[in-house]
Amino acid sequence: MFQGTISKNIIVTNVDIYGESTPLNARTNTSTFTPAVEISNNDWWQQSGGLDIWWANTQYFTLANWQTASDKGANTQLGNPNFSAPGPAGHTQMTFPGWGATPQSSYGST
Amino acid sequence: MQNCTVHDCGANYRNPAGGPAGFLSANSRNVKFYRCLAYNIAPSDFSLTQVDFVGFDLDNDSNGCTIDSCYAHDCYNSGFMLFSNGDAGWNNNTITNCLAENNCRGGLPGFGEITINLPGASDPTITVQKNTTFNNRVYTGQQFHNDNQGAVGIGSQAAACFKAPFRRTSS
Repeated sequence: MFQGTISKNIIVTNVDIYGESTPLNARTNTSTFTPAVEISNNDWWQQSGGLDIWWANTQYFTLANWQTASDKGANTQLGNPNFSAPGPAGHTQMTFPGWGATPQSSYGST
Repeated sequence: MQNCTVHDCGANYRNPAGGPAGFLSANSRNVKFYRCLAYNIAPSDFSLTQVDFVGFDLDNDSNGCTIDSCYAHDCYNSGFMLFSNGDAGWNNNTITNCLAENNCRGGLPGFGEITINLPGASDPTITVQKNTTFNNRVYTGQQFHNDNQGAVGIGSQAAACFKAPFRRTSS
């Protein structure tokens, strides 16, 4: 197991050979998977293909079902993370590298 | 290490159990990769399924290491990877502000644009934050016994201590 944070990541996926689009594959050979890691405030956009999330030994095809089963994924968005889209509540979307990021001098003024 | 570029490495490497990376830390403390670029870390022949061939990898016994504001594209497996190999000293490592684009050329389901592979019982702390991944490669072939399956955004393998690709056997 592991702990920590997976957050504020923009994950754009496209269709695989099964017709699915998988932002998160945390597949194990056990019925439960309970890392202490916080997964929140991410945007997972399926540009093509249906949503597919692996968690433990189960495959989920809706965000809500995975959130219920894992108790992870608070404030996950599935929309197009284009720069005019609103980000998750409480975060200001920057041009790069994503919501709520501290502006980097190398990316110019924001 | 900053402002460095590594590309087109590992073409002739042949070891299914472990392969090259553009940037890799091991047995390291507080190493930071910053504003670096890795691309085309890939074998010349995709017919032999192999692990690694990633852009960036915080590997065995890395502690307090960071990949910040780096870019990886067109690698055979992941753009960015956290891999402890079960080492108890692996802890407090970070991937942040990075961009991964059209890696996972091998289509192996055990590897995502960002891969987190932390087997063992040491319960390490990670931070994967404010990154962007994108992949619109087209994967083709049969649905079974086919490594070339697709590109996962974040791939996590934590329950088993192995490094071989995690193959899907049913859809």
